[in-house]
Amino acid sequence: MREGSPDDLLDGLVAGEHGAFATLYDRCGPAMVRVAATLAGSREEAEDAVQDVFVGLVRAGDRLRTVRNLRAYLFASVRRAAIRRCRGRRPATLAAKDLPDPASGGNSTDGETAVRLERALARLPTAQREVVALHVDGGLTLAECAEVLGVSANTAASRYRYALEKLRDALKE
Amino acid sequence: MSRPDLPADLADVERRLRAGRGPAPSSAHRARVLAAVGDALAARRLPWFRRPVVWQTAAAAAVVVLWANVAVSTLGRPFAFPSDAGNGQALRAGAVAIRTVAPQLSEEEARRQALLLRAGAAGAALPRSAAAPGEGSGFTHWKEVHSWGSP
Repeated sequence: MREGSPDDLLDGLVAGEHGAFATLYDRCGPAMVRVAATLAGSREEAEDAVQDVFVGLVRAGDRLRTVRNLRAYLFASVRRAAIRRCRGRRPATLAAKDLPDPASGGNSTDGETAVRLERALARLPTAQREVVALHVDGGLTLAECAEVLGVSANTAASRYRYALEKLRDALKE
Repeated sequence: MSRPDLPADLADVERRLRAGRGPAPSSAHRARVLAAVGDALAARRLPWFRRPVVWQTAAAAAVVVLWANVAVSTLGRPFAFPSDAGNGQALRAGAVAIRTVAPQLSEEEARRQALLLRAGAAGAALPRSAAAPGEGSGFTHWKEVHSWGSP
């Protein structure tokens, strides 16, 4: 599911309209928290990172006019904020309380598989985990992931594939 | 939604990943973020001289200037904090040397002159029309002196 593009909000954000920020949160906030949680390994730190990004948007003011793709800009900012918050340590595995409730969705994985996937995700190399977070949790296309990470689209796609292979092997163990 | 170019096993992993997507934000998070945004917007609308960051920067600059001022004023003034024991010995040696060339000086006066020399004074002022050697009044009867010079 791809959440709505926020580019139409750019003028409101530059002008400092509070409603534009509220709409931006409704469109992208949950995905930003999910990405930050995968990168930082904690929901609390992920929420703080997303708050940092929103406050940073306010402070950016007119500089936001130079942004071409607000969605990519947002997730690049989330990535930086999450990295800053877990600098010097490897991200922890999300606590069980932060994992989705297996009973809540129609096609959800069972709880044990979710925990194993989460552990395997935390063991992935950072470059691969970032692509998974942006593509799966953030809903970005692989081309957008490449833009956020500053790599080519082919590199992003191959990192994603390697990550899936490692996760598959971890689930088989 | 799986990518069509993925083999079935990887597509299955992707499907499981999507089903187990990370945590949703807590219910209070939206309100907290928007409150922080409101505060930041209010700060942005303040005139520049009322913004907290301006005053924080000014306070930091004042601390730096104060520190530099204190550092410069104590630099080169070792006697401002007479703590090192070596100074006492050097002073005594200086006082002895001064009394060798000016035996009319009292021990206390010689020590004072040595102290001034070590403090970086260009030289202790001596009266040109000093009293006769041995009288010891050259430095104490300074009102009688008409002109001063340096040795």
